[in-house]
Amino acid sequence: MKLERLSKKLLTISFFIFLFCVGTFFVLSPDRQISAAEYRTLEQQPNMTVKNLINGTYVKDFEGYFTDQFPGRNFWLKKYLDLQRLSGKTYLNRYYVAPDGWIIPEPRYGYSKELVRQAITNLNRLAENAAKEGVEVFYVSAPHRINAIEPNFPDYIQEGISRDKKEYFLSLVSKEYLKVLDLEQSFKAKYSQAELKQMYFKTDHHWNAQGSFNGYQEIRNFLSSNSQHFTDQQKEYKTIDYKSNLLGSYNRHIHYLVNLDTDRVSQILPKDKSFEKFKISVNGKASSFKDLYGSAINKKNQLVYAEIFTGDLKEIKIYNSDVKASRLLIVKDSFANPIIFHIAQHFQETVVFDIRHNTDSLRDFLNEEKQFDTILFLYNDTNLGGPLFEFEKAPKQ
Amino acid sequence: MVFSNLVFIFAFLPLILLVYYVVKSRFRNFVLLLASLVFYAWGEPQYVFLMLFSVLLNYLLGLGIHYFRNVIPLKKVVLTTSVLINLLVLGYFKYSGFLIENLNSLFGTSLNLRDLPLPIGISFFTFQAMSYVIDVYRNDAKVQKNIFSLALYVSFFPQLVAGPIVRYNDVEEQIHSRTINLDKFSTGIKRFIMGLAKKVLLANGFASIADAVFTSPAGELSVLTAWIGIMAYTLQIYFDFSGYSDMAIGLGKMFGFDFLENFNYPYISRSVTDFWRRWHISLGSWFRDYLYIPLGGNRKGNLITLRNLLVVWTITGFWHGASWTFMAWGLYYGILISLERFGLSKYIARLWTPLQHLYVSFVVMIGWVFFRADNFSYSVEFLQTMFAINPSPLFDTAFLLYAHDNWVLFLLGFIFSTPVLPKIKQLRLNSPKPVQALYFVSEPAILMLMLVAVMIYLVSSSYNPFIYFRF
Repeated sequence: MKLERLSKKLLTISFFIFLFCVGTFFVLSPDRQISAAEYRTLEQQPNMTVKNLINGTYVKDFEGYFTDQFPGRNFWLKKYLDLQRLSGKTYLNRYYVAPDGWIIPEPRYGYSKELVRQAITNLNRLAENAAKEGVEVFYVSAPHRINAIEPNFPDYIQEGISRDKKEYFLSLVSKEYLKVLDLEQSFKAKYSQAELKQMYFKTDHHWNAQGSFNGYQEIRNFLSSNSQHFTDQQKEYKTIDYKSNLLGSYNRHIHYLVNLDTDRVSQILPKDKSFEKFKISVNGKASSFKDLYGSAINKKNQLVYAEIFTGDLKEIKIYNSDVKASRLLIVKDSFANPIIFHIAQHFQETVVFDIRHNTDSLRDFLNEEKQFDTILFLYNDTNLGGPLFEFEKAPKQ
Repeated sequence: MVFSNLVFIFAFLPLILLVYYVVKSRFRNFVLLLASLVFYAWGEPQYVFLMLFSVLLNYLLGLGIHYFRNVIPLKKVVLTTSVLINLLVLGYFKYSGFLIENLNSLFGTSLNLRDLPLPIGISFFTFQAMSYVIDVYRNDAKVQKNIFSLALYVSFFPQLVAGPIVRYNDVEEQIHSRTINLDKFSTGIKRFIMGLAKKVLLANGFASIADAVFTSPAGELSVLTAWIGIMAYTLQIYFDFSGYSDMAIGLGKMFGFDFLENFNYPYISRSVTDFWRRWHISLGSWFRDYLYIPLGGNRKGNLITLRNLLVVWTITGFWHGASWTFMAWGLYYGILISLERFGLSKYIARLWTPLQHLYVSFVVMIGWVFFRADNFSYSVEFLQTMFAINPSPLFDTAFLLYAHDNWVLFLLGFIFSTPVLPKIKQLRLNSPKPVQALYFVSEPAILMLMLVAVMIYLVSSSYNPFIYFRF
């Protein structure tokens, strides 16, 4: 039959064209260095040597390179998520997109108690040694979104164990040497779920300006009651809203399927602009508040969390001459970034140290620096083990 | 390298097709041989030499059998040598770990053997090579004096790593003379795309469910979660393996080769005997022709027949993997087939057809529990959960999630494990011309859309295991 023959020709030609076109595009397209959507560098063409041909590493590297540089990769990845959505999948790349636009990570149902115990051992030991030298040590557990807000999951999804893990962690903290502020408890005592939802980004795992500012106020009250070196500062603050969109961390994992204007970008800063008077150095080089805090605001339309506040940097030093002599060390993760200046204003000298971005261990750093009066750990309550609690050895680079 | 891989589909295959159809026909076998060696070396650079050794060994032994064709005792010695060496090589790489482990367990020794990686496809190409030598011995095939032609037969990439097991006398003529035309080529493309879709769009989806269920402690699963896990595995293994066979047959056709079918909708079988005539047909017929019949088959009375069935099926199980669970799985089928042979089939034949299907589905799924589980105790506990013998809840949130997310996948799985496509083809032949025209216009479009969907899944997914890869 003529039509049957035509159908076969059509199939054969389409097949060849499709295969050869994709292959040709691959060869002719320049290699991309990074994937903005995936926030990582892409595999580059591997070098072929006799050794890596024989041991099979060239083959593996080439396949990784071919997949990473595949023509239209980001487009196909988005199409994949569309197909997943169409077929009714609950999770897209391990994230649930609720009808109200909240992106919620798939719950975890297990954790390593051993890792938590190891973290606590290190923390308690550091606090005990510090106490012997007259240094006060505080631990602030900042509520991650998955613990602060009840997730809007469908009924058939079982709740995860992240709160259990946090409770286990806090139950092992040495009350003798360490004073703890559990911000999740403070928030839930003060705010309703609706209010809490206003304090977090929908498309990112962090708290927003309002949430971090409310957290700062609790920390201020806590330090005011417990720290001998804290100087209270009463200020008026204002909320500054920006038109930029947030490139949320969760949204990135689902290739920005949720509209970028879902989250508001804003900062809460003193009306008197007192932070701009601080003397600041970043990684040993002089800097300024404007260069450090919200550096990309008004320069870019789409911002990541680190560009709204400060990024995760190796070391920041903040000097505030308006308060009595006092030296604070903040050991932190990214949840501290919006409020390091808010906290630093209560101490004369503040050093902000991020273990993950340092080549020295915390122990070596403490030995080199002159004595601190106060050490404040400020971690979100899902960071309960691993490198952030390894104080004796430098992090793997 | 596997077929469901972006490098294979968009780099290797177009390149080989281009070179194959550009070169003169007398060089085409060399192109295929070179491509096959590159294909194998891509995944196993060192073990390509093992495969070449197997080719050389069986080539020389084939020549030896031909040389001694009129001296029966020597001819037998050469055959025996061939079989022994082939099995020794297979045994060393695949079964020595199992042997050492059991010797240590039995005798309290602490023998040690360094971990040997299992060369991809060793069970397949060893059996193919043995079938060549045995066929030459039996005068079922002419000796191949061209080592490159024999190498092509053993190493031909479409069926090298996961079958079908191709008999030498099925392709002997095609090595030297084969038809290539639009009909065959387009049929090849169709089979290849269908196979890809089975593997990537169906099997991989079932695999993620089955793996999640089977990595959980069996006693902690709910009853329905256990059932959904084994149903997922049942469909995974079918679409994975039959998909690969479709791809192999399709690729063969693109180069002018016709391979025999390896699956014939096994899940519509009405007896276990019928199931094994439809599942992995090339393996079943290999063991029938090269083991069961030489042992006497069913020609030496009931007791010998029973022995032969149990031995052959236990070895069939063992071929799949070096563990007691695989042997038990094989023996399980040996017992069932024996029972059917010695009377059970008469009762089954009288049953209402849906009950026949239910019987086969039931026993096959139970068999897959042993096949999939890592050990006996897990298998037993899993079965206890399935049949609510241990105190497991009927369902849990895990089951609800699997059911919610995958009902479309399961529906497609059930539909396409039945001969719905041949039925559609039959209907098409009997339908009016406009309907046939619609079919011919839409078929290439649908196939190309499937290929695009496969590509999307492959770009996004790093999860792409082949079950029969390591046999």
